[in-house]
Amino acid sequence: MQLKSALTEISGLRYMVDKLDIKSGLGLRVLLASPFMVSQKDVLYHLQQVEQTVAAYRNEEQSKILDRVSVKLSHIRDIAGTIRNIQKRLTLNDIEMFEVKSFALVTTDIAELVSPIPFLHKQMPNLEDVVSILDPEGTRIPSFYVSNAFDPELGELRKKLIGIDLLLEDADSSNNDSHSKLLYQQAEELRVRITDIEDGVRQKLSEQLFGRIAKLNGALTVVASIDILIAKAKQAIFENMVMPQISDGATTYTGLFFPQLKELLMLEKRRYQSVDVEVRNGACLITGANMAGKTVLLKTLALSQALCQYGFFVPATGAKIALVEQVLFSIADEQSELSGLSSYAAEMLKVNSIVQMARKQKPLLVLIDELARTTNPTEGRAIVSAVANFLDGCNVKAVITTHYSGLSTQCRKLRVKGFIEDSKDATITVKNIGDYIDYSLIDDDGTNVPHEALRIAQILGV
Amino acid sequence: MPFIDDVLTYKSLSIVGLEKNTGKTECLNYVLGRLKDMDRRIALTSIGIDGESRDIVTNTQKPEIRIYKGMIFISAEKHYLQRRITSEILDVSNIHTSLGRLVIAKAISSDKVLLSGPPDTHCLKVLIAEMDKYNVDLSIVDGALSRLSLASPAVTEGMVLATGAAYSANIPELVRKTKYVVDLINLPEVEPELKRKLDFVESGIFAVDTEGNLHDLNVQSVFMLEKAKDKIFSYGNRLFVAGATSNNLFEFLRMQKNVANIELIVKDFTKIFATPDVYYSFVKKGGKVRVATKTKLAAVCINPTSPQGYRLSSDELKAAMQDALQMPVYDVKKLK
Repeated sequence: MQLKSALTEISGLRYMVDKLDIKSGLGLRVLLASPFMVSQKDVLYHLQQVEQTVAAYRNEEQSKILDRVSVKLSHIRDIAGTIRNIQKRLTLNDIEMFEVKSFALVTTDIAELVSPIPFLHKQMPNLEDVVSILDPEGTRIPSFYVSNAFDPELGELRKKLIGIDLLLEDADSSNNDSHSKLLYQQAEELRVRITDIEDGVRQKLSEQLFGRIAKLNGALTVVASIDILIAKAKQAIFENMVMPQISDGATTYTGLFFPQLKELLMLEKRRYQSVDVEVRNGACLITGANMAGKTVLLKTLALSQALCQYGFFVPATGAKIALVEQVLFSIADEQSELSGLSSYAAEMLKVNSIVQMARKQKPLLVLIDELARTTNPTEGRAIVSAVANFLDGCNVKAVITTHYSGLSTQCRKLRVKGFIEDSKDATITVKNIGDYIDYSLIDDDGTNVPHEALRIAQILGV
Repeated sequence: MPFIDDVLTYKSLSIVGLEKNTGKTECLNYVLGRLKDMDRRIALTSIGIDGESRDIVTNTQKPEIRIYKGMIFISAEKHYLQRRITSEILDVSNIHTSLGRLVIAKAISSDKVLLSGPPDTHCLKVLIAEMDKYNVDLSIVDGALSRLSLASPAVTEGMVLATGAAYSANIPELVRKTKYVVDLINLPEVEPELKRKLDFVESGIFAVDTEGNLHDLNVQSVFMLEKAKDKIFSYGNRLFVAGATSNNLFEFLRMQKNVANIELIVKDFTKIFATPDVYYSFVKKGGKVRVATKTKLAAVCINPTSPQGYRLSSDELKAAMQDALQMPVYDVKKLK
């Protein structure tokens, strides 16, 4: 799945991508098309690139260089369309030539800038020969026209034409018809000749550029990736994110947080509690009071998994992530009156598709929020137990939140701690309720679900 | 050399015609022809499309715009690729028009070109500001006073107005109609502090209180003013309309008891679409009109010939016009 489509599916991902300071349209296009990586080699390669860029940013000298590269990146033009035209061996027009030249000039500038940063420098293709094709006078100014330097004949013909034009102006005022007619004819012939030569030059240049097509394509990819790397690294530093390690077994996080929510709470000057969590193979049930952050936990797990496999750092202080082929979830209320399904029916269809995928024994991350919450508790319990038991036997990491207690399943169970003991006497309101909840997860023996629903309703003023 | 010295004092100048075939292009060619030998960097753009060799509306012969070596001109991609002139691309801007992006180019030879320009006032402002990058001394906008264009030429410091027989074939009538536009151009600008606030407002109708604070009346256009009648004067007698103002608005304001104290502020003079009689009857009852952006009228040019074949007496028209406007008026055909 491309990042573009994941944006609408994974909560919080759009926020992270929107916050990236991507400088060029090219960078953004390539970023949105980046794939969900499943091979450990790919993920590690991309994460290490970000790590090296973060390290460069932490070095005073190199960070200044990267800032200057950023400025250059904002001048980059996306010439993918022009490159396609070169590939098809079409003759480029002046505007396209200008774009290739300006791209090549900015790229060589960037290559020169990053020369003290070896891991970036070694990726940069050398576009000097492209520059010299389009800049025969060696001015290195990003402007373009078929100048006299491209063909020795051009200069002379153009000079002649200017001469005739001047004569024509005089002839116009003296009204000498036959004389000016002749001059017009001469001017027109010259124009045709000049256009011919210009077109020949354009053809020759396009042909020469065709020979550099692989290099241009490579440069396009590298420049886009530098833009993306710098943005990812800046974000990783700003949001206090960490490079995840790749795990073969369980996925574990320490100090895991949901960036969008954290920022919101920081703005209101309130506390955000990050959590530690371990997701093992098999199913895991999470119980906890209302407002205890269960849904946010599931969203954070989905977001972090996606970020890691799209080559981002993750929002935590420590992370070991087992790669999966897909993240599947049933989170928001997927009720759809329009398709004639109740919330229960929609959920069951979703769970069914998850079960079908899990059956294929592919590694998956499955996240289900409050399974079977909209039906009667007796059958609801049975459904939760059955789904948990089934997923426990598959090659998946499944996290299911529920309010049901006394479930007859042998899978792992966790509980959100809930209300902090010494807060019993404090004045709790809708506004500050978050400050009195301990969001950390503890092992649960499965017999006792905290019954705090009535208390929370009371606080909410019901 | 009439009015060229005056033109040189501006950083930006628009040349607008009151009607097609009022001699705007000849006027522009005159200015460019004069400027070419001076040591000034000139940039040229237009509002909408211009420079067709035949007028597509009236199918009459139309002088093309002649660009001289070294001048900077702006043209949309499609037009740029059709050009005859030899020119060097300096930049391809991010401003999109229906004919592609705008290309900023420098003329290498001298020839006639098709100009095109930004689609709205904001882009026009940005583009003129960008000309500093190329050390341009004077940006000239080939403008139009038309409801069809979203870009207003009034963002330039100075303006040259072209009027003529095509606008009206009757001298007193032509003078009257031109005088109206000149009166609008000469409307006074609001105080600088208020102007800064108004520059950022693109739409809506606001009451302006005595401290110069804006109060949104939550009315999208003057056609819906009826809804906010009660609120209009609750903050004072000043009203700012960011969009177009019509006869309805002027009539409504004229009928108010406090008309003598009312001050209507518009974005620029091109936003006034009231007919002269309605406008003047508001002003006669004491109503005041001011603009957020004022442009200075540098010259008025006349073209005594109309495309239908009317030919007015140049001297007579010039004398009548000068008398009414109290400023020098030039016949484009006689400018050499």
